[in-house]
Amino acid sequence: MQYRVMIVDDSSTIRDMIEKIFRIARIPVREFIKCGNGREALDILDTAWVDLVVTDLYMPVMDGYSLIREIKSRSEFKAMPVVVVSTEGSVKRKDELKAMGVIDVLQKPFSPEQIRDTLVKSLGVEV
Amino acid sequence: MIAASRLHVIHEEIASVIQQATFMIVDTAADAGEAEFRPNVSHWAQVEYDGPSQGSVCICADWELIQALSMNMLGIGDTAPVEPGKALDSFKELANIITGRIITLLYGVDKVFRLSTPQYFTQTPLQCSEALVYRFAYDCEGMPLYISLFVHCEET
Repeated sequence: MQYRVMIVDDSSTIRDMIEKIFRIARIPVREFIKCGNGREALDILDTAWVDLVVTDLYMPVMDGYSLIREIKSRSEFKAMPVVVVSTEGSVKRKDELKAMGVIDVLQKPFSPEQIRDTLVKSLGVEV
Repeated sequence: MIAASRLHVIHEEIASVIQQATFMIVDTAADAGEAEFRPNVSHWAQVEYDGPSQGSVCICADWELIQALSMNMLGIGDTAPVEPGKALDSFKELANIITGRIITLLYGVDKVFRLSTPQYFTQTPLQCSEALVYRFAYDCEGMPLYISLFVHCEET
């Protein structure tokens, strides 16, 4: 299976870095869809399905928390897997996000092995 | 005050973080002390943190290093320089990543902090005069990178 992956981060550097790490990890990706904030992401999700959302937390316009709440509250998106990539390492925050339905929280910078492990364990991605 | 042994651990760990983020070979510079801290460079990125303690982290580097780390972070070749806006975005994001990791190393994983959006400066950003200051120096493939940690307010 080839995945459509949405990357949501206000930094173009981080968006490109995440794409690079996915490629190094040999995750089979058909398409990367990149957005600068949660609002842009939701606008795209209204018209196109993605297999995985990778999002930052702090962004202008709409932050990662609001984006996750929207995704998990709407029946058409609820099953969509979300991974958070954040600068923070707080366990409390990680637990909060997992309670919201996030499959994993990775602290930046993360390695290709970390994202591969997350996707293999949580989604059964074959690499 | 942060114990010298703890500062040493942070100094070493942050070298690994910079290496992982930039894909460059990074060494801790000889000494992170005040006497050896000579940031004769003009590019600064700062991230403030707020939570059980408040403070900020500033990184500074010359343009040559900013270009190099941006090219590495973006995974592009060195045939042409990175567009300045993109290079500065990479520099600011490195500050963000370093700040997040320093906070985790300093205060542990049980505390929750909020980080500001990284800001770029062409001179040393103003700091609270009563802040405790800790300096870290690195050698990134022959180019210097300096980090200053300003602890504005002790844990409450």
